[in-house]
Amino acid sequence: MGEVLKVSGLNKHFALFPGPKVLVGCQDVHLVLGRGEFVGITGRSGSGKSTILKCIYRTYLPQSGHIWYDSARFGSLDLAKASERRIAHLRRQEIGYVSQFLSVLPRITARGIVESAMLDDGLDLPQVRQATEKLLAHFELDQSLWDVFPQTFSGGEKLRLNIARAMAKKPRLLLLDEPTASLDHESKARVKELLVKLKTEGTSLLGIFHDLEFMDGVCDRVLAMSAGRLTAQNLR
Amino acid sequence: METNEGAVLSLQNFRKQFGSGCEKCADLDERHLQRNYCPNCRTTYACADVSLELYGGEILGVVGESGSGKSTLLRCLYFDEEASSGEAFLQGYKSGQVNIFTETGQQKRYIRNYHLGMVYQNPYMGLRMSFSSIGNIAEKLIAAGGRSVDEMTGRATSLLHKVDIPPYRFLETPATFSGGMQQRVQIAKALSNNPPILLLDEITTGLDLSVQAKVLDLIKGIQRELSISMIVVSHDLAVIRMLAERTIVMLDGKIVEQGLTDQVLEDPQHPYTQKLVQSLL
Repeated sequence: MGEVLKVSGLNKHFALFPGPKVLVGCQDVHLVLGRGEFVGITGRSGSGKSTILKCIYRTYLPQSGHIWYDSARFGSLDLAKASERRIAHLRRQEIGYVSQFLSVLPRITARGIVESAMLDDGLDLPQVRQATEKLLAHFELDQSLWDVFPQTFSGGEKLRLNIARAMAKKPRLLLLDEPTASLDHESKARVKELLVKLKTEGTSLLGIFHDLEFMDGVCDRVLAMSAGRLTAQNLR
Repeated sequence: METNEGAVLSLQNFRKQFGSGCEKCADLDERHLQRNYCPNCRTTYACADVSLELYGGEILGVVGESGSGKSTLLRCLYFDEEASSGEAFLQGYKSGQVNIFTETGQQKRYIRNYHLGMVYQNPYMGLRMSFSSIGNIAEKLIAAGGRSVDEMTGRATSLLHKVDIPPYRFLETPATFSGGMQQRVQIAKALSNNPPILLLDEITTGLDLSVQAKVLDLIKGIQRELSISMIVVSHDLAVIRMLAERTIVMLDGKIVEQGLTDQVLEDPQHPYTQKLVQSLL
C-alpha cells in the first residue's frame, strides 16, 4: 500500500485535576496520508488541529484510536501504542516536527543546531558542514548569523532556522504546525520551495496552515476541522 | 541510533528505607504512611518499588519534589547507600546476569570505578578539595587501575581542557574555584574512567544561567561524542526538557509517571505531574 500514515478513530481529551474537568482535543478523527502526499489541515484556533499532530508525534497520548505508520525500520506500527524507545528512534530518524517556536539549547550557534540534527542522522562531518551551509543559504539566513546564537534572531529568522533544522534530516514524515505563521512573503516562498523539493524526494507531509493561498500551491488535499472533528475532506 | 538493543541498566523493584520498620508499616498493601514516612517507627521509605530501564546513549530525566527519593535512587546505584531490596543489572558487568546490589564490597568498588561516574549536586561530595584538580582526576584513574603518571596527566589535562578549566589553574585545588568550575572539575573526574553510565544529581542547581548553559552544553556534547548513557536528576523542568529524551516523575518514593519528556510535560497524566508542570514559570 502507498500509505505512510493512517489515522482511525482517534480520540484525545484532557482530564484536568482536581475534579471532573475534561477538555476535548479531537474526536473520531480518520485520515490517510499517502506516500509523497502533502495534506493540509485548516480550521479555527482551538479546533484540535495541533492535537492531531501532537498525537501522531506522541507528545500527546491518545485515549483511543489507531495511528498506523509505515516505518522504514520497523514496518507498520501503531504510534498510539508503540514503545517510547521506538518513538524516540522514529523521531530521530524518520518523523520530523516543526512548530512555530524554536526550542534549542542555549549557546549553540545556528550552524551547530543544523549540524547536530544531521549528525544524529549518522552523516559524517565534512558532508554535514557542506549540507548545513547550503541549507542555511537557501533560507537566506544571512552569513553573519551562522555562527551566532539564535537567541538574538528575529522571529522570522528563528522560524527559518527551525524549518532548516527539521529539513536537514530529510524525514520520511514531516509534521508542520503552522510553520509559516509569522513569515514574510519572501520567506514563505522559500519554505514552499523546499517543501515541494522534500515532497518530490519522497517525504510525506501533514501540515496545519491558516494561509489558504500558501496551501493552494503545495497541498494535494486540504482538510477542514472544527470543534475537534474533521468536517470536510478535500476542500480543493 | 537504536544501536544498543537492551538496557545498559535495568533496575527492578528497588526499595530503600531508612529505619527498621515496624509491624504497622511492614505490610506493603495495608500500611498507612504519612507520605513516605511511618509515624509509628519513624521509618522513611525513600524509594518504594522503583523499576526503570536505561538504554544505550540515552539521557533519562528524573523529576520530582524535594524528598521524593530522586537522590536516594542515584546514591544507591552508586553504592553510597545500600539498597534495602531490589535488583539492578548492568549490561557491561558479568553480561547483565548478576544483581549488583548483592555483590561484595570489593566488586561494588570495581563497578563504581569501571562502570559508573557520578556528579553530585554538592562538589564537596565528589571532589577532594585539598587535592589539585589534576590530582582529583588521577585519584579516579588510579582507582580504575591507572599506573602511568604520564598517561594519567595526559588524560586529566585533556579532560580539564574539555570542560574549559584554564590550564594555569590545573594544579590549583578546587577549593579555590567558583561553584561552576568545581562542577566542571567534577564532571571531568566522573568522565575520566570512560564510564558507560553517568549519574548526575542536580548538577545545575545553584549555578548562574551562563554557567548553567555551559554545563548543559558540555553534557549534551559528551552524550553525542561518547554516547554515554545518563540519568539526570533535576527539579528544573527546563533542564530536563533540554537534556532528557525520556523522563520519570517521582512522588513519595514511587514513580508516578514516565514517558517521553515532551509528553510528560505537555500531556501529563498524573495529578502531581500536572501540578508540577502548571507551576512552571
